[in-house]
Amino acid sequence: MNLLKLAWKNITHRPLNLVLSMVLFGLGVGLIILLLLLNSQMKNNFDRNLADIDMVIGAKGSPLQMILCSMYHIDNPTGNINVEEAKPFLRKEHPLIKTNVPLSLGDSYKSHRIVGTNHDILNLYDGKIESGELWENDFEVTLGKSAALDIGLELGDTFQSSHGFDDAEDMEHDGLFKVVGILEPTGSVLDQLILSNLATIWENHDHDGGGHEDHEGHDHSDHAVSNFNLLDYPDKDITSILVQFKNRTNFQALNMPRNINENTDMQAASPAIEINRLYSMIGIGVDALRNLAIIIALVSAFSIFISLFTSLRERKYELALMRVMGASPGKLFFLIILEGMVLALFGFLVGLLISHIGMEVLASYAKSSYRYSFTGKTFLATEWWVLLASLAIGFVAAIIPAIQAYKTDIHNTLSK
Amino acid sequence: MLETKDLAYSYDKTNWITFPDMSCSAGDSYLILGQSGTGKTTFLHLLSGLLKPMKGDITIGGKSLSKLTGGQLDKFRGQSIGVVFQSAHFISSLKVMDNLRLAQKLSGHPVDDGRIKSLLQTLNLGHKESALTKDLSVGEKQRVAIARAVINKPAILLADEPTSALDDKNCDEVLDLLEQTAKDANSILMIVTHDNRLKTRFKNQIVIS
Repeated sequence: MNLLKLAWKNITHRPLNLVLSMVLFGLGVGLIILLLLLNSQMKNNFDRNLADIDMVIGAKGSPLQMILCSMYHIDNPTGNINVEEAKPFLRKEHPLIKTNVPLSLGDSYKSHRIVGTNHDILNLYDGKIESGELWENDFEVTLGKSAALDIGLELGDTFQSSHGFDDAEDMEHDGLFKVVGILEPTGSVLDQLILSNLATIWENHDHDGGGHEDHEGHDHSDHAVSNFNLLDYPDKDITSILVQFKNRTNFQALNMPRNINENTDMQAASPAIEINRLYSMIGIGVDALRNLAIIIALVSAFSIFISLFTSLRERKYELALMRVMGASPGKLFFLIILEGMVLALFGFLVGLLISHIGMEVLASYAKSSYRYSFTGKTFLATEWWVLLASLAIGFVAAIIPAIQAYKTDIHNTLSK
Repeated sequence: MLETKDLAYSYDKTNWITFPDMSCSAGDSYLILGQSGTGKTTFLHLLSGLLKPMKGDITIGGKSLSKLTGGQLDKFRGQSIGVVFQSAHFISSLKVMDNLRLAQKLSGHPVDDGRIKSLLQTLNLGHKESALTKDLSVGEKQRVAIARAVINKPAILLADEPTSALDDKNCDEVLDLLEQTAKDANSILMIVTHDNRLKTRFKNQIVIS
């Protein structure tokens, strides 16, 4: 019968108080941990997908939208750019550019985007082929691992794409895609994509649109990636170019985005800057939520205080009895502190449960609408700090009641 | 064993309650009589170390209570004094057994389940060891309170008006139990009361006026 057990018995003896404190405390802690998890996993996702890309070139519009679209594949394109105009930045011999990866977007299949590009995109994300082979000819596609698993496509399967990100039935194109390969999982956005050559996107759109009558006929092997040179098609459009500089501290390289923005009809943006801008925009909402969580935590601390305080009035005689049985005032102080901290500990555990289950729920939602993999199954080192803070709150909430217990006047209490 | 000398206490420093000198030895029983408001409870609280004497001294087993520090006094009280209060109170969140375990633990003694069980048997409470104290009858509560008071074999067993709420039959039973358990534990039994029924039973009587 040690003090911890006694504290535990005293707490569970009043289950309603216990539940109230636990729910309040759990909500506050749960919200805080949820925000921490969300923040860290979102940052991880964004950082992993930065892939050392220094600049994205696309059609004029919102630079953030262009970045979100071309690098994270969660927004629509700002428009298209003409190959002729983009020519200087598509050249392999550009003195400042190490890598330039053209992207042509516009179609998707079952919420997974079909990206027309060349094989260089694999180098950005360390993509490797797992089974089958890389896309080569028109309408051949290689799938990212998650895309293949989500859609349930295997080697040799065929499908028809739809325009944009929605799976509207009447928007289907008539080109038939064939799965020729599946990539190893990379943990990046590449896992979510369906990769094809650039001409496939043009073909697919020229077919049903009927507006452009200049297509090269039906021979799908015309545009094999290995001997395809984008610069030979100056009248075609692409969506954007992902650029890595040879030396990112080079003065000319640093000025390149501004030159493009001022002197061309295209825009260039730095992913790092745009994503930081995004963080600071989301940050306001996160701050507001965090403050709300802190307020809830404080209210719950107050509820622990009230709970202990009222229970002490009922238990005054019990505390005096404990003194008669040999307990020192310090022991009573410690007992009440323990009760406060045990309450806080349980609130923390409830919060831990709420946040990680909540994260799993969010994950299933985010996966379908943002194609980002969140998880509630990982834990952060900062959660230890939340535990410490919770115990501290329990301690602080218990101090005044504990002092009261310490000062219990045995003689007066027992004389009544 | 127990001695008091020139003992006095005052709540307002003007009206002093003085107590007669006593010298008791182990196994003795005493009746402390007095009308309400004469200082019986004060005397009991002085003897049990809940109040510190303002004048005079109490010596129990050779130890002077006024020379003990707060912590020493707490410990001494837990080990050497057992108190049965007028109305029985317990730690309500604990079962009978755990209430007694707590009494052993707080006094600094090791928890001895065998001792607790045999004591409960003696008091005819063997079947109540895992009951919550709120579910006990008045008589059962009284007996558990006695068990708790003697669990550590105290040098002195103090009882505060243990019979005032009882009819004649139960009154005798409780007195028997108190005497028996005090004798088993070799404790000095001191009953503070204004219940005249007890006068015929105890020959050692101290009147506070």
